[in-house]
Amino acid sequence: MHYLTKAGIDSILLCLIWLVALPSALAQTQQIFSRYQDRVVQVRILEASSGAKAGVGSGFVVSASGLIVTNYHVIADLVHKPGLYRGEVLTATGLLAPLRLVNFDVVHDLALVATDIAFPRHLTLATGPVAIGERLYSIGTPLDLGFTIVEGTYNGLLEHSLYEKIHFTGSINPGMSGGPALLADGRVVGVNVATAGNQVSFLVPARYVAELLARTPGIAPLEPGAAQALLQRDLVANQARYMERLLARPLPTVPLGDYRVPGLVAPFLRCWGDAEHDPSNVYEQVTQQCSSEDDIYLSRTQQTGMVHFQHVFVAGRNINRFRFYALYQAQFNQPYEKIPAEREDVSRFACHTDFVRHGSLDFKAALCLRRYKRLPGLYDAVLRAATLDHNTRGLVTTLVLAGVSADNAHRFARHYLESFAQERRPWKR
Amino acid sequence: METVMVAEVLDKSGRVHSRLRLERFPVSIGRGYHNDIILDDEFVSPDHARIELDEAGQPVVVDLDSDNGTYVLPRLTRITRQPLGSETLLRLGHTLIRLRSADYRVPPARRDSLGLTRATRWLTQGAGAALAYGTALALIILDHYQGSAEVVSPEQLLLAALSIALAIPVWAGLWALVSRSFAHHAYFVPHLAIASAAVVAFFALDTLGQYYAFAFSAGLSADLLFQLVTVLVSAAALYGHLRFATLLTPRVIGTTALLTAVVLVGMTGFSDYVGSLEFSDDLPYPGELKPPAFAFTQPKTPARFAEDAKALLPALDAGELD
Repeated sequence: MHYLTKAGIDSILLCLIWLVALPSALAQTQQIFSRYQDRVVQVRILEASSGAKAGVGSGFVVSASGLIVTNYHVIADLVHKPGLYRGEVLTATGLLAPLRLVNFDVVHDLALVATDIAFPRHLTLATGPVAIGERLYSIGTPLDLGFTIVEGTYNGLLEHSLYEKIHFTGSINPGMSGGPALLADGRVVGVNVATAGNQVSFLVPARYVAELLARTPGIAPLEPGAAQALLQRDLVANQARYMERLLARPLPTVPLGDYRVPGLVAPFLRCWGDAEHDPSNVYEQVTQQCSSEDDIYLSRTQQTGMVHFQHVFVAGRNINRFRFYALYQAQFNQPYEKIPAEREDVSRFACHTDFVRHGSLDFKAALCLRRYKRLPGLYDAVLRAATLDHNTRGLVTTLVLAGVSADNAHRFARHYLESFAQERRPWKR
Repeated sequence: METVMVAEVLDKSGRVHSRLRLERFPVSIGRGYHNDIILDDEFVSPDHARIELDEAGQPVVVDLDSDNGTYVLPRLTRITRQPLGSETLLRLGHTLIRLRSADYRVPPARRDSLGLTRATRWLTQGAGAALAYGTALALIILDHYQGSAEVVSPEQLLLAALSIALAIPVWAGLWALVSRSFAHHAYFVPHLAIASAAVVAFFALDTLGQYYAFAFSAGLSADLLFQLVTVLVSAAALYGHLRFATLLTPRVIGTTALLTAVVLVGMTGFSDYVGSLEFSDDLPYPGELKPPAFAFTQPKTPARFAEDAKALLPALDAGELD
């Protein structure tokens, strides 16, 4: 019964798709563009004193009240430097009006703005399931070149992502950010947000637009000062969400040299490995790293929300312990995976360093924190530790957490260190 | 009793330029070649002054109505006639003349303490200097070998030591030049020994400092200790160099060396401090890693480590690292 029903819906959907898709694809793209372009706008950020364009993005009308959706990263200047920048909206029909920031969701890179323009029509959201391979039409103003439509295909949700995104095979270019990706029937599946080049692009699923709309009572602009509080609240809640998942159970480990080390500790991470075996070197090295490969855009200078860790196992080849420890020390002082931020965003790091023993493993460990100057309660944390139980072998591990609470940084530092163990089968070349 | 005096013409630095024993009076002083004391100074009159004996047989200086006058130091009082004591300093034109009676009492001889201790003497002689120089080079080579991540050949190691091997003698040579002009002897070997010993001392103390920083996870205190040690070692080296290069008293040399070292280290320390105020995303943990046998501190559990790290928060939240 269950299967029948599902098959029934699927076949109806398929018929519908075929009905729409049968006419020539070219004619259809033209039709979609001419039918919906009046609901798509260009969002401009202007330097306040000169009125010169500082950045452009796209947006679309999403409610009868005239609310326009765009990306948070398009309007971020209005949040961070409200005195230096202002925004305006240009419609496909050539109307130009100042915009007001109404609400945003920094975690999913969405923002709602309002204007005095009366839009007769708006786009609706497709929050239900979409089949992989379905054609999507992305509209926006790439590189400030005027309103443009790009065809592509829906390729499902990204599997390894901290912040859910749709994989869209099509060319999204800078300036199209915030524009809609439509089904052939004009419903919005996602919001253009990013590209990895070569037709690999990403959309914010429409369901986050719906959620943002649901918690936006009207079109009143955000009070001055409310934006930072909103940012802080969203970011604190977001890190609590994923850190809770990381802290919920012992971290799964994988073997690396003489040790067991945290591996793919959460589905939103992606792990890579590499080995270095150069006969002219007096050591061998095996590296593993896992990263969320995803971040939250806060401002031109600051990104946050990443989780990254790296293990480097080093084994000396026929060298004395002092020579090994000289190069092991160099490894302990290697640059870490930097978190983009400037002086106006964060403090300098402060570190706590000590010897740590867990089970039969000894470490030298340093935990460093820096605070977010404008977002109280959030910190970047870097934990670096080197095992100290062998004269000519060792493991240096580095954990980077961007934008977490101090409590979560401390709890996870402990949790992370406690997951290391000695591998039962000792390492052999 | 016969009056005998000594006239000393001084140069600008106060050293005796020429000395004349005066036994027969009067003695004439001036630029003219008929004088007893001829002063090659264009501000001195041809017949400038005369030293004669008064009725009581005491020597007096008389100005001969010279153009620029005759003065007595230290207060530069212009005189026409002045009795001479056991020591009088005169200024004629731009020339200083010191007049002392032959019974002027000179201070006792200064004790020559150069290389007096056995250790100093040994170090500053050939064998000691060679040992210090050899040790310095051996340490450079060892450091290069221990610090290299690649297989290194003996030739590469020698090449690495070459620059220091040359730098130490060049440094000693420069000091030898200074010695030659102030102490009238080059003392190249002692200078070489001192420079080499300083290199060895820096190496030893830096290594000790690293083990200290590792064993006690010490950042700031290790830095301060290192600065202090740098001051002491540089002051000691400077003291040694100056002892051989000048004839100043040990107290003066000691003070000079210490002050110079403090200023030098203070300047680098200050520039480091200014640099530390700049924004940086570096992690300021003590990065020393040494073999496990040198870890003396009792390790903490991960829980305790994380708990201890909370001590960073008050300063961080108070904006002390902004």
